[in-house]
Parts: sequence; structure tokens; C-alpha cells
Amino acid sequence: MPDLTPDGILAELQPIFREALSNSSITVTRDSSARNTPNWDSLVHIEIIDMVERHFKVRFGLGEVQDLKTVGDLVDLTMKKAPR
Amino acid sequence: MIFNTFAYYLLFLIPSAILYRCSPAKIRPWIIAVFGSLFFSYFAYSMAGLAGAFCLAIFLWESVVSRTYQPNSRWCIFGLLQSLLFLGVFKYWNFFTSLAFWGHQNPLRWYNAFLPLGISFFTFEFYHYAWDRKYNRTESGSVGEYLAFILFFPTMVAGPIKRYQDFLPKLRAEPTPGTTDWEVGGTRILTGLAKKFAIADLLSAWTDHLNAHDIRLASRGILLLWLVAYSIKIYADFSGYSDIAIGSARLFGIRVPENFDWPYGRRNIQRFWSCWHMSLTSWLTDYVFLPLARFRIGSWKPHVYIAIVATMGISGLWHGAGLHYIAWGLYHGLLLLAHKLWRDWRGPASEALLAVTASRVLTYVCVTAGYALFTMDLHTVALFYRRLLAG
Repeated sequence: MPDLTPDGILAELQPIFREALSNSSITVTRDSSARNTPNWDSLVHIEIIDMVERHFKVRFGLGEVQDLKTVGDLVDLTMKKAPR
Repeated sequence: MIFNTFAYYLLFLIPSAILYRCSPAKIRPWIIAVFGSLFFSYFAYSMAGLAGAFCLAIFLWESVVSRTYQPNSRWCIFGLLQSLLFLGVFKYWNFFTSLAFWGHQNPLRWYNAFLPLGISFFTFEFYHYAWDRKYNRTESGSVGEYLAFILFFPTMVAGPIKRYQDFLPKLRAEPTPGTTDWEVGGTRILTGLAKKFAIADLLSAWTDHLNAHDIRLASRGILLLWLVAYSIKIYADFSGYSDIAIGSARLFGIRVPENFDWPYGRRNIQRFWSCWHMSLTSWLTDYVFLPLARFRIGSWKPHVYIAIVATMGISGLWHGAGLHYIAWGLYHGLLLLAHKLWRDWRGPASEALLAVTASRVLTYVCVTAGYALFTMDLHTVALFYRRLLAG
């Protein structure tokens, strides 16, 4: 069962981002975004969203996906949507 | 071209920018709306007569209907559909009806078809606004503010494609006093004009006249040189136009999005499209790629690869109503797909100098090779590539 605290979600996002970005040493923070993270483009963005949805068993709306700019936004949205 | 006319600068840009800066905040959007209307009427009439000028009614209609766009409202869907209808009818009617009656006389041909000034751009801004209102990603603003957005004439004809939620704060802000905006904007305009006249128009004299007869006679070296010349011409032309638009906007104290960021030096096709016509790439990502990639019917969803190629095919179609434009778009879709597959297979790119240089050269070659598709009909393009590759 995933840890649904903000820090817990952030920790569980790390392997997802490492796989999507093909970078085993990267550590993302709440401020990480496509602007400041190498290789994070729109294709990777979709992959990340898909992987997060499968891992946390959530479903994000299209408008919500479009509004996601940072990892922090993703953490907050996941907290809001995740089943408890 | 509009940006090289005295009328643009003396009748519209300079008077409106001065009036804008001297007006109280509540009047400023209406200054843009009025001058934008006059600009549209003036140049649309010169290009397509009264019918063209009357297309100003599209903007006025949109300004009324857009007041109904509320979050989750069905009126937003109406807004999306009508934007596509305007674009579809004016730009693609003859193309699609000709396809439907392929090989026969087209009984539905619209013989006096014309393109309303800037239709490819303003319909995209209409679409963006309807979509973002539906998902509550932007406030509605006032009628005057929305009219200023859609009638902002520096970007009306060829972009950059704006976003309402980015434009609104700048419209509401007090223009910076002093001469900085005029100096920066003026310099940007002059840079654009130099790119247009000194580079693009000079190269156009040669690149715009390559036909099948010339292709048959030209050596392979000349055909190669044509591709390189065209790559320079199209960049200088389009980025020059964007420079003039961005510089013009700056005279109002309004900053619109950048559109180019040295695209030809990029390491891969994904980075190229992040740096070429950036406002269009961003629009396509938000309103075409993401919806396609997120589309579901029950548990079935199309692979993201389909979304990539389809988005670029649509991009090609947006650039022009022709099969070769679609082919050009699909070509870039396949390049993006190939890049993704390569990256998935090989992991992060090497930082070795040779690898970096090779990737930059390869990206430029792939982009430039596609320009023949962009400019020639399919029959001529086949001849071009056959001559280039096989002699």
C-alpha cells in the first residue's frame, strides 16, 4: 500500500521518474519540472502520468494533467485523488 | 506582406501604441480592439475585398458567444466546434471536397474561396480559450479584454499564438514608462526586417522558383544547395516575422511568447520542435497530443506512438491544405517516433564531443531533408528525391 503522505508520495515517485527519464541517479524534488529536468518532454510527461496512475491506482482528468507543471503539483494531485 | 508596409507602422502600430500608453487602464483594451478591427478590415480588404473585410464579424461573433463559456459548460464545446468549423470551411473545404471526388470534377468546389486574414492563428486562439474555460484554466475577463486578445494585431497574422491567461496580466499591467520598451521593441522589429529583407527575400528569389523542369536539369549539388538555402530562408522568414510581431507587441509594453530559440543547433528532433515555432508546438501539445495520448474507450487506449504521429500529421495539415503538407507532418512524426524509440533503447545521450556534434548535424540534415515535402506537390517531390539520391 503506497504511503500517501506528501513525503511518501515523493519518495514513491523517484523510481517512476528514474525509469521515465532513463536516469538511475536522478532525484526529483517538489520544484522539479520539465523546465529544469533534462529529458522531461511531453512524451515523457505522458509516460510519467500513466505510471503514476497505475502505481497509485488513480485517474487524472485531462485538465488536471494539463495543469501539472512541477513534481509538487503531481504530489498534491495524487494526494487528492488517491483512494484511502 | 503586411509588416513591410508604411501603413502598418504609420496608420496602426505607432499611433495605437502611443494612444494605448496615454490612455487610462479601462480604455486600453478598447484601443487595441478598435485598432485591431481597423487593421483587420484594412488589410483583409486589400487581400480579399469586401468579403475579406466582413470577416471581422467572426471576431465580433466570437466575442459575444465566448461570454457563455463557463467551466464544464456545453457552450465551450460549441466554441471548440465553431473554431474548427471556421478553419475547416475557409481553409480546407476545397481540399477535402476534392479528395472526396478524386479524379472527377468537384461539384462542391467553392470557386471564390479565400482565406480570412490570420485564420490559422485566430481560430487556434479561439479554440484555446474555449478549452481552457471549459477546464477552468483561465478567467473569462471582460468583453474588452477578450476583444483585445483576439484582435491584438501584432500577432494576428502569423503569431506567436498567445494564451489568454498569460496575456491578461500584461494587458492589465501599466506599461513601463520611459523608452526601454520602444528601444527593445524597435530593435526587435529592425532585426526582423533585416532577416526578412536581407536574408529571406534574397534567398526566396532562388528557392521559390524550383519546378519539375529545373529539378530534371539541375545537378545533385544544386538540389542539395537548394535544400540548405531553403532551410535558411524559411528560418529567416518566419523568425523574422516573429521578431517583428514580438517587437511590435513590446511597443505596447506587452510581452508575447517567444517563437524560436536557435532550432537548427539542437541535438535531436524533440529539442528542435521545442525550439521551432514554439507557440505552435505548445498549442499542439496541450490541445492535440495530450488529449490523443489520454484518450480512452473503456480500458482501451491508443498507443502514445499513434498520438505522436497523428499530432504531427495534424500539424502538417495546419500548415497547408495539401497532401504534401500532411506528408511533411507525418515525416516529422516518424522522426519523433524514431527518436523516442532510440532513446528508450539506448538511454541518455552521450556527452562526448563527437556524439554531440554528430547528433546536431544529423538533426539538421533530417529537418532540412524534409523541406522539399513542405514546398512541392507529391509528384514533384518524388522527382526531387529521386534526382537527389539516385542522380
